[in-house]
Amino acid sequence: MLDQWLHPSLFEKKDLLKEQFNNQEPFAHLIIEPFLKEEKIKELKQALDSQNFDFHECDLYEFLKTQDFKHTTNPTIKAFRNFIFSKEFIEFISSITSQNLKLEAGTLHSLLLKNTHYLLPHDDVVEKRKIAFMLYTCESFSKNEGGSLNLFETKNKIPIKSLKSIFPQWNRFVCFSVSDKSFHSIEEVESIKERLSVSGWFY
Amino acid sequence: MKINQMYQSEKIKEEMREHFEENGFLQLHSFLSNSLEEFQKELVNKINSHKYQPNSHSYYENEKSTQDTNTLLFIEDFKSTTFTSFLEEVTGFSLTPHKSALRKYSHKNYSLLNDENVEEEDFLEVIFDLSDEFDEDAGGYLAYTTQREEILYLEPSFNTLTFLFKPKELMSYLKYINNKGKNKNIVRLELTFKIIE
Repeated sequence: MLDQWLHPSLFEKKDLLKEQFNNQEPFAHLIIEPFLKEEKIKELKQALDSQNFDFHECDLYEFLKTQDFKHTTNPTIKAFRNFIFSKEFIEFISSITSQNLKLEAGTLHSLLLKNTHYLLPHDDVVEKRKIAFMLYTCESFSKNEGGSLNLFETKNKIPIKSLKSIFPQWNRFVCFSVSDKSFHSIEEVESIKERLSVSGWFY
Repeated sequence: MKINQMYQSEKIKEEMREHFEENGFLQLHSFLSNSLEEFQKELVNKINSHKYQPNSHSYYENEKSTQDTNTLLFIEDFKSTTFTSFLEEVTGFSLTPHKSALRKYSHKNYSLLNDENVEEEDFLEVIFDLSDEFDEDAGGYLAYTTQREEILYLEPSFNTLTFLFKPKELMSYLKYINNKGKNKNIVRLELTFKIIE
């Protein structure tokens, strides 16, 4: 299963990825790129483009989101979901993150942020979530276009300031441990580019 | 403080009382008859102390220790006996000034709903607004919400006084100001008045 989906360069890097995950600031996280084989991410992007996105907004955010892909009928997205929540991939991520992840499906959806959309700082802590992940299926964003994933330094469990910004980039996978320190945000998109990703949580 | 003559007439005051009694809030546009444009520009420059707690708020306040006479007098006018009496007349409450803050909100600023900000008693919340004209898609509105639903939205509005009865369970947030609000400022004097039983 893994070699059907993952970029071949990943298998050589597994030990390095584990080391990187645990040594990152401000909290454990990892950036993997390229993540999928090129033909797979192209298929996935094409499938996501055909999905329905609903507008969501509250005090914390404004973005477009699909339903959970649990009931998707799109064969490409269904296959991608089966891969993400496969025993092999969950064991792969468990090994890198040293987290005892459950061999059960988590949540998977697609998020689309257009000009003026944003997600303000929060920690993602909700029952069961252990690892948050996202895979960018959009072109690269530069600093003045916004859209970065910002990771916050905390003091006594209160976020103080953004310490690291990770910009969307084609076929870039990011994951981090969910805890009372994992404050993060998505910087407002200030571009006509569309920030498209698939994201979710492992339990 | 020169309150617009229109709001001093007994007939209008009676209408204001009825509206407040029925809705629990009231907005009075063109509230002051002073010329305020230049003063607003001065305030935009003076309110520059960034108050930032990422999971709660991002906005600017004036530093009380360094505020000048004009700003001080402006704030004191809204805590004066004359203004308090005006509010008492319209709301029917006995009031005493409680907290005040002079704030500026611009691009990327916000305040979030936060359980820690829930008050322990009911207040009269008073806002005097000196904001620039805002695109309605730029955010920056103030939303009031109960546990179940959002019940009131206040858009930025220059020279407008808003006062509302704020039960302790009513919370508010200021919608994130996006890039359509670049180079615009919301400037507000935000006050609370204690309601004396």
